Amino acid sequence: MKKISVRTSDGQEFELEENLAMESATIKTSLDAFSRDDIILLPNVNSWEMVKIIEFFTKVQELETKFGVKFMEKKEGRFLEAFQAEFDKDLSDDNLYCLLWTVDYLGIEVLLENLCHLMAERTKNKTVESCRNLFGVQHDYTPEEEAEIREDYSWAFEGPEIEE
Amino acid sequence: MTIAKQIMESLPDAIVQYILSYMNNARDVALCNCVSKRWKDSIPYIRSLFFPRNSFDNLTGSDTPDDIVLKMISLIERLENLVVYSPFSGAGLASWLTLIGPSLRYLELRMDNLAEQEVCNERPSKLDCLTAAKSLESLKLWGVLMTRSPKWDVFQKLKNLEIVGARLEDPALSTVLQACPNLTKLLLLGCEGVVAVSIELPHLEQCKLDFYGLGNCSFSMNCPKIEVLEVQGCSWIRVQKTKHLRNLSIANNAGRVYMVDFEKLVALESLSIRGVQWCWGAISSMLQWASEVKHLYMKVEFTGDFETLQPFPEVDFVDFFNNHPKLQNFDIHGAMFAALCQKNSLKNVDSGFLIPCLESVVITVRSPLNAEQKMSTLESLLKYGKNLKSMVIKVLQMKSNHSSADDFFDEICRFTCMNRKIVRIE
Repeated sequence: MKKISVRTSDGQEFELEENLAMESATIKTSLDAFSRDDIILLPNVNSWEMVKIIEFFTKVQELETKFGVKFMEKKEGRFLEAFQAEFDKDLSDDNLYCLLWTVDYLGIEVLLENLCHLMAERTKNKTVESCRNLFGVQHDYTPEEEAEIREDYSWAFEGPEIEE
Repeated sequence: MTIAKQIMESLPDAIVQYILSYMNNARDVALCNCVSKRWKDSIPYIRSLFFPRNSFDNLTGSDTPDDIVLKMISLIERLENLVVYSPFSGAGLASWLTLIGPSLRYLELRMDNLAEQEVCNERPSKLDCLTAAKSLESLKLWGVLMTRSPKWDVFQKLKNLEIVGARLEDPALSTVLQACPNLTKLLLLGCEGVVAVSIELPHLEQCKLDFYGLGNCSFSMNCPKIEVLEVQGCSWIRVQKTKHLRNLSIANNAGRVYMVDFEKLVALESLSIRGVQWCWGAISSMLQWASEVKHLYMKVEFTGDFETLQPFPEVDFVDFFNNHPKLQNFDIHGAMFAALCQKNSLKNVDSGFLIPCLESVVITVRSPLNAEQKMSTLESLLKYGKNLKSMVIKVLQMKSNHSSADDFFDEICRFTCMNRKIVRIE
């Protein structure tokens, strides 16, 4: 199996198996344009992110062997909950944002779906303010607009105060 | 704002939509409207909505729960999954399904009708309304009063039907099954009122039935693709076309199983038979048909063809294991174990006899009667089961106050100690 070399923003080099590298639409495009022997430069990707991506692929391959399901081929992004929980455990919110952005940049659909799901899980049961914090969202409603929305959906704002 | 959060804000809309499309708790989705304009614009892409039971416990506004659900649903472009555990009315349900009926794939509702004593007077009835969800692939209903046949057209795409906690009448159940010809999975749990049910679904692969009552339901099935079948509460069971049946469980907590009719169970790997009383003919037929079985669980207290509860007749140890050569896991309780331990059970042992595949045995012992025979059977299992890896002996409350109970227990302990690697007591 041919290996593709990539170099991340901080100068570290990684080797990926060709079929896994091709899961990234961005890398695939580069490979189509250049020779497979060249090192692909990924100035927008950090080495820790690359490590995490490789960890993901490794885990998926383990699961594929164990359960005999071709997750990647079937574009089944939502894997077993245990795997998701493990993957999620070490990712701080900030790390998750960066990884999300990078994986979107690299165009790895399968991993993107997982990360979006993780992000959605972290959004559950939050107040409006904490959602804004979590996502770094600019508050773009006028006070009148916001009051109107709160009135419209008053049922959702009632009840016990939900945790931050 | 940190760099990371700048990144988040610079994520393309498509990603934000993707993330938000995984949200499903209705309250969280409602709050999203308020977070920012971009979030509000992403809400139409959500695929599922879930209303927990207490969603509307603290309502103060003028909207009714039905209105609120309708409002939330109407925000979404193409809702695929809807789960409502909070209370609602038939009119409300009708209004929702007018909106989302065509696209809805998965619907789960807490119908909550069981407390009502009278037949639903509500017009339209909640059950009748469901027919508007024409594209449903999976339907799950909790707490259904189904004493009248619902007015349903055929659910062409419905593959999965689950009804948990229901009061049924036979004609109503029959109508329901006829309206779902393409089911692959059927679950009817905690259902009262069924007297006789016949299931003929050409694509059904998994079926689990649990009928409350006197345990005297009649059940017949003709489903050529059936692979997994569990039935509780029937006394008369006939299943045709069993070529693919792998897992079978028949239990009856309340009544007597007196007739079972399966064809030869060529593909059966796992069999569980449980109940208070089974006719001996039924048990021996089951054991005969299940000759290929790998996992066997037997817990029947008594036999007897009529009201009187009888103990089991003798079962020849050697014949039993010769007739079930592929047996790997064997779990047997009290009375049936005693049947294997009769006086002459071990008289046919010849030198070539083996129990080749047996790996694990679980035996539940309740009575010290025939203690010597029982010990002898335990020893034989060990002796002839060359591949036996584990034997668990569960000693339930002994039904005798004699010292024989203590003696027997001592015997078992001694046996366990001598074979510590394999045997253990629970």
